[in-house]
Formats: sequence, C-alpha cells, structure tokens
Amino acid sequence: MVVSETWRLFKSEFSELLLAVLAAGMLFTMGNVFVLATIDLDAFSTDLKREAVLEVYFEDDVQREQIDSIKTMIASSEGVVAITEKGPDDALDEMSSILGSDLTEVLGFNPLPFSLEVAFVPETHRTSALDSLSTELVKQEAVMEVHFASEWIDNLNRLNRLALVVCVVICAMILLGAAFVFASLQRHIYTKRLQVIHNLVLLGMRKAVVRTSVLLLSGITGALSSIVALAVTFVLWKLAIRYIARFPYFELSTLGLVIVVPIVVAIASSLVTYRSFHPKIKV
Amino acid sequence: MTTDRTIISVEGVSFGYQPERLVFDGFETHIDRGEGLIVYGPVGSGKTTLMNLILGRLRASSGRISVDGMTMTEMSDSDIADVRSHWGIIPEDSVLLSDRTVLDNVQTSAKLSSSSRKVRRRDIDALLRSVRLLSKRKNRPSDLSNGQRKLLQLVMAVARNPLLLLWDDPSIALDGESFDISMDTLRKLHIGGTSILVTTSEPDKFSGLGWREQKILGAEGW
Repeated sequence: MVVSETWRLFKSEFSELLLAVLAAGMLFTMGNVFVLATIDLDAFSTDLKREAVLEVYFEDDVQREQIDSIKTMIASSEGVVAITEKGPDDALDEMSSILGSDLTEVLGFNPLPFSLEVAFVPETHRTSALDSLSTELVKQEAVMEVHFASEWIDNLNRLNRLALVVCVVICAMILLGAAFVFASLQRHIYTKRLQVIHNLVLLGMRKAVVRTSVLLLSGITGALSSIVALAVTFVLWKLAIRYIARFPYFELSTLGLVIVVPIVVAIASSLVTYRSFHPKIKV
Repeated sequence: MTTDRTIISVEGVSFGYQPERLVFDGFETHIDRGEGLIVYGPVGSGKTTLMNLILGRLRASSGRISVDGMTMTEMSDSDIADVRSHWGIIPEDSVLLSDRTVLDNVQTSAKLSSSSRKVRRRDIDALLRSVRLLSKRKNRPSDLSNGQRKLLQLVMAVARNPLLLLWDDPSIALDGESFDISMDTLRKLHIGGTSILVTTSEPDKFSGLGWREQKILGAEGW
C-alpha cells in the first residue's frame, strides 16, 4: 500500500517535475549563451585593442641617440610589448602600397618622418595611461607628434562595459524567470499533491501510511534534486575552471563542492518536502 | 433521542469560525442505524459545517458529537480514521483523486474501506454502468462534468459498502437526470440497510424518499 501510493503520487507529478527542471534548465542555458557571448565580445575587443599601437613621429633632424633614449623611456612604461622602428623608406613603402602611387614622383623627395610603433598588452589600453605617456613623449626634444587611437579604444571599452551590464541584467532576469517558473510549477505540484493526500486521508487512509508515503516521496524528491544539483554544479565547475581557475587547491575545493552541494540539496529538499506536507495533513 | 441503535449523536453543539460569531448554537440531532435523515436549511445555515464536524474535520466549540457512543473529542486520529473507513463520504468539496482514473478512484476508495465485503471489479463496473460512467472509466476526473464528478463520488461511496453515507447537498451540480439516478441509488442503498445523512437547501427535492427531515437553524436564525 505504502509503496504503491508513493509510486502513484510520484508518477503523477513526474512529468510536471521534469517540466519544471527542463524549463529552468533551458532558461539557464539561455543565460549561459549570453555569458559566453559577452566573454567572446570581450575577447574580440581585446584582439582589436592589440592592433591599436601608439605611434611616435620624430623631427627630420632626429639623432640615433635621441631615438634610443626615447625607446628606453617607452620600454620602461607599463605593459609595453614591442617597439618597432619605422624609417622614412618603410613608411613610404607602406603609404605607396595604400595609395597605389609613389609620392616622391610628384614631390621629388620623401616627406615622411622616422617613427616608432609601440604595442601594448591589451589590459594597458586605458586611454588615461596612454595619454600620460603620450604627454611625456611630446615634451621630448626630437619628438614631433604622438598618435594613438584614443577614441577607438574608449569606444571599445564603453562597448565592453555596456555588454557586461546588459549581460548582468539579462542573466538576472533569466534567473528570476527560472525561479518563478520553477516555483510556480512546484506550487502547482504541491497543491495537487496536498489535495490528493487530504482526500486519501478522508477516504480512510491511515496517518502512518500517509506519513511513510510522504517520507518516501521526500526521499525520491531529494534524490532527484541532488542529481539536478550535481549536473548544475558540474557545469559551473567546468566554467569556473575555464575562466577563474587561479587559486590554490581549486580542483580539490570544487570537487568538494560537487560532492557537498548535491548532498546538502538532497537533504534540504527532502526536509522541505517532508516538513511542508507533514503538518498540513489533517485526519 | 439517542438509543442503542444511534450511530451519530449531536447534542447541543455550537460552532463558530470566529468565537464571537457562531454558525449555529445548541444544535441537536441523531441518526440511527438504517435511518435516512435529511438536514435542510438555507445557504449559510451551517449544513456543511455540521458535516465537517461529524467528519472530525472541525471541532465543536461546545456540546458533544458522538459516534457509536464514543465522544469525537476523546477519539484519537487513528480512531477517527477507523470510523471514517466504514463510511461513504461525499463532501461539498471534491474527494476525487485527480491523479488517477475514474476506475482507480473507485478501486482506491473501496480498498481504503474497512468493509468486510470486498467489492469486485465487475461490481464496480455495474456501479459505474448504473450512473452511466462505465465508458469514462479510463478518464481522469478532470475530463468529467461537474454532475459526473458528483456521480463518481457517489459510486466511490457506494463501493465502500458503507454503514453510513454522508452527502453534503446532492442538489448542487446535479441536473434532472443525474439527480434522479443518484436518488435511485440512495434509495437502493437505504433499502440495503445503510444509514444516510443528506444535507440540502432544497428539501422538496428529497420528499419522495420519505425520510425524516430536520431543519438546521443558523445562530442568526436563518
């Protein structure tokens, strides 16, 4: 009697329970897509920023010692990856390839100055830092002009911040939506189950039988919850390892979570199920 | 008057959902073995409350309700469950099990009964046929009309082979034909020796049964 009634109660709710888990799972997947898209956008803008270089143009009468002195000064700045020299001939070749004609044919001389291209690690691409370096460089005697794509970098940084805010808002909405869908379906299941239990008691089912059935049902609910919790924790663990695995004993602690979280969830959901039904069963 | 044959005795019972507002005050009635009793009164006079008090779902503010000589307030949960397992119950709210089929509902109801006579599958089919629900036996209660649900609850009660049948207002949800079918079933059950307590706000509909009638007056004198 106990087993058959428990099985009946469980079977009648399983489809709704599955629907609740799937609905929440699908919403979480959507959230995951937004997170991954934001991470990809960040990676893409980092690649773009890597292309952005600071260009230092020298006066025509610049001396080798002055260039070396400026290079030493730049190299001591934070985040500098590479300093490339570009002589007037290199610049002319580059411009000719862009314009498709030789400037010297018209002008009769090469007007392009000697320059340096400075590449930075993408994290250094804060325009304020580049601005201060640029100001320092312009003050140097042999330096004619300093260029860097400040607006472009600013816009990329702004776009990244906007994407992050949008992602956080969407994820928060999805989290709320998932919680709402799950809670609504759970409430529906709960109401239906309580009604069936009440009617069974009214028809003469013994309280002990009802108690044991509810206890078994709580156990099943706990076991299922722990499986879902294990799956969710495993996915989070994999994501965490990929993106933020930097602290010591990380694998050990997250593996601990993978074991502890499902056990805690199982116990909690079993207790909640049992405690929420047991006192409400009237004889 | 209470005798050895009395199954349920209600003596001077008062009840209110709020202490200062009684639904009824000092109500008295009884039902003997094999007796049919119709308790009638207008809406709000306390018919459903009386039913719930007899079922042990509510506790009287004062007075005494006894079942087979035992006072309900002194009975344990187990005793009340034991008593109810001998009864057929059709409360105002549904007693149907929404998670199972029509046939399963009747079988579960019969299985939970303490009746010594066990109902067989063909008896259940015959009962379902008598209320024209045999073709719906594999359906869920949610597939039935309100009237059919009431008839199903009647079959569930009858399948328990009850000593006492309690039906809270059969006239609700039953149309002419369904009502006639249910009255016919009640009549047969009564002839078979089952005590029956029916509450209603339309006593005229039950006058053909020839049972004892008692008016319930709400505390505000409806």
